[in-house]
Amino acid sequence: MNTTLKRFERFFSFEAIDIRVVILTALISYLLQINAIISGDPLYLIALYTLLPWIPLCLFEGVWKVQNYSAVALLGLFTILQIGHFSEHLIQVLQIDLGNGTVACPPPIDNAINAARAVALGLRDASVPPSFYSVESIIKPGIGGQPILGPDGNLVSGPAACAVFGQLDLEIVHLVWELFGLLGTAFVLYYFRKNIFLWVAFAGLCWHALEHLTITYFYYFDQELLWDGFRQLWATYPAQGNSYVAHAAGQEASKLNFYEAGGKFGLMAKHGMFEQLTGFKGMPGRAHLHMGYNLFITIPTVLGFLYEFRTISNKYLQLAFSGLSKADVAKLTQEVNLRRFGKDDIVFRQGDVAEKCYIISRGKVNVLVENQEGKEIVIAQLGPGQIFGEIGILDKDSSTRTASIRAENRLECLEISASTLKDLASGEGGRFSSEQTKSQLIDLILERKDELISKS
Amino acid sequence: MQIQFLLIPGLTVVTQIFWAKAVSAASGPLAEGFGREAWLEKLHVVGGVVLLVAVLTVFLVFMILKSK
Repeated sequence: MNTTLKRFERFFSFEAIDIRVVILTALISYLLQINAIISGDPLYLIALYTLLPWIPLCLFEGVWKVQNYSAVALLGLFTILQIGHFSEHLIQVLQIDLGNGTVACPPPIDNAINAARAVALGLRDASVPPSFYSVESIIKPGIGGQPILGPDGNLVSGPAACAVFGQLDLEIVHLVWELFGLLGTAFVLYYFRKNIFLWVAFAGLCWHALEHLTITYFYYFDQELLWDGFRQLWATYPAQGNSYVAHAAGQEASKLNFYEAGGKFGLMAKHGMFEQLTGFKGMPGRAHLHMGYNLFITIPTVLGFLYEFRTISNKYLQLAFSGLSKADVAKLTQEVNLRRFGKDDIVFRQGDVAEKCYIISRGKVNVLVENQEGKEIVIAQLGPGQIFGEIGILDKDSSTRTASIRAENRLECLEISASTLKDLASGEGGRFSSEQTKSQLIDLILERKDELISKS
Repeated sequence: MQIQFLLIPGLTVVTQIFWAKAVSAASGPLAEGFGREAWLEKLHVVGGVVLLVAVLTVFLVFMILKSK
């Protein structure tokens, strides 16, 4: 359990970004957040300002993680996005069930028409111009579109039940996310085709695609106005800062298209195709059903990620120690430290005491030795997946560096301690128990010592 | 072990169906005259979407299982 937590801590931390940059970003994010709160900005803007500074860092870190941990990192990033999407659905349901929220998504806008209606109702001063912000608080409409009064005689109000970002029932947002999820899951399944959890998520996404493709078709391509219905009217006015209220202001009779008349409920939700065709009553409302769909997709995605996460391992360690089992590379991955060097930096000098060895994960190094005239010459160049610094630790004849190492360009290395390297070289019965790795290291040392003698 | 985990999302969806009966206020009304007949007239759209998703699913499964 402790190992799993450590693995989590490592994977979900910024490994590739300097801690000073992370602290600076946190500070900027915090300042933007405080400013948005003080300005009275709506929830979606507070969330947006908070997240915005983190986006470039997360993208950079994400690319680095995919480069180092391969497809598991991709699955991890994809899982985080899926959890985020599910959270939006969950928040919407909580807003409806616990916060007296109203589904009017996207929420009404404080535009000129809604503002004029509010002025006519005496809810707003005519001198205050419309803002075109979405509203965050809705006074619930009853039958006929007029405000509902609660048992205490006051207006019943709650949030616009559109989750944090307010875009949950924009059909194109649903469709894009759904197709992104479907194709993304198919992509990671290519790498983890034995993962049954991901297959379950894939099946859920295929079913979910049926709903959203049907609804989106009606929304965009079936515009004929055939049904008699009503449109809800809103009067909007500023509450505090940039927060606006939508006040129910009656209904207007209108001809509706298929989507507006009932197509928006889709196939399986309350009032949807299944209920209409079978006469069955009792399906959940659209918000609840779609949260259920996303739960059905998110849980197996998370389990599928956790299943693969047990053996997450660094690609460059796999390259360097091809004889190790998958479990042993995963174990080794948790024991290395990332080190960075600039162009022409010296990693270590000939004659230094040998305490660490390194696997290159990015860039190249030049191996330098002093010849008989005391002049440094390059005897080899090493690149990603290659090891250096092992001779001084494993060779019985030498406890110091036999060559200097200089970074050819920007360099990233995985640092391995002397004790871990000795464990790797101990073969059967050792902590890593790999005879192949032991032979590989012995052969490498012999080969490099020969090279040193012949070229210096 | 894995099969037991698979029951969790299934049970959740079933729970959703019963739980959500009490909270249908968010669904909104249907327009006058909209019902079974309206959907029957659009079955060709639903059929087309089912066909599209089926073809996409088969294609993706084929690509996933294709040997590396």
